[in-house]
Amino acid sequence: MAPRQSVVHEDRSPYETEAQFRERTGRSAWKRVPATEARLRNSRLREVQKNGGRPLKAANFEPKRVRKAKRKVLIRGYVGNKMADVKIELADRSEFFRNLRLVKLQRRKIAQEMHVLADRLRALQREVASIEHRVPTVDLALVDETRELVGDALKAAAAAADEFFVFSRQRIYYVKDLAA
Amino acid sequence: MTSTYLGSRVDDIDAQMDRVASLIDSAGRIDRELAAGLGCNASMASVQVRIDTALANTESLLKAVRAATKK
Repeated sequence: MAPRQSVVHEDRSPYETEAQFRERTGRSAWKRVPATEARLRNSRLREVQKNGGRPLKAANFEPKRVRKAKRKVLIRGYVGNKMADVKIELADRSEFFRNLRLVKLQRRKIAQEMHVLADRLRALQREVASIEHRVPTVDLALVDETRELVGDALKAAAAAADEFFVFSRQRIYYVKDLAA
Repeated sequence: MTSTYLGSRVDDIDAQMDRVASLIDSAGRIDRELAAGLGCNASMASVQVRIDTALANTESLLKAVRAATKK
């Protein structure tokens, strides 16, 4: 293709003036050219025209009403989940408060029974201690060792019983997840 | 012949341990803190080990007493 002649006028702009354009083409620069069939066929717009004159779905955001509807559905689902959670927690809570009195009674009972266990260990310790007077021929080292071991067991059981007693006197609070 | 109550004491303690165990077992179903082991700082397992060794020693003492009184 031959380079276009006289398009650049000297030293001012790289573009031709309107007069030059009119001289070159024979029509006014600012008038729209009527769309002929061939023009439309070659136009860059024809891809867009295929889709009803609208951009592709992926090329744009969705219209406002669609967006609003979608958001509403999302919010409803979220609220539903939240409601279910709250319901479960409420049921859990009410069950806890229904059981509260029973829990208190059970804790006290366990503390009592631990004290009884410690008492029985004490009785065993006394029994072991009295062996050496009742049966003087028995091995005294064995008696002493047994008495010490029973004493250790008694101490451990008594400490555990005291801790259970304190535990049974503590205020009970609602806890959500402590043990499975 | 001298009679001792060692054997019955051991049986008592065993029965009491069973009782506490069943109590804790049934209470742990509705009591989460107890089930998590907050009832007692020392673990029940260590207490049980001490009681078991004491009772085992008592049994051997009982045997020794029986052997000594038989003569």
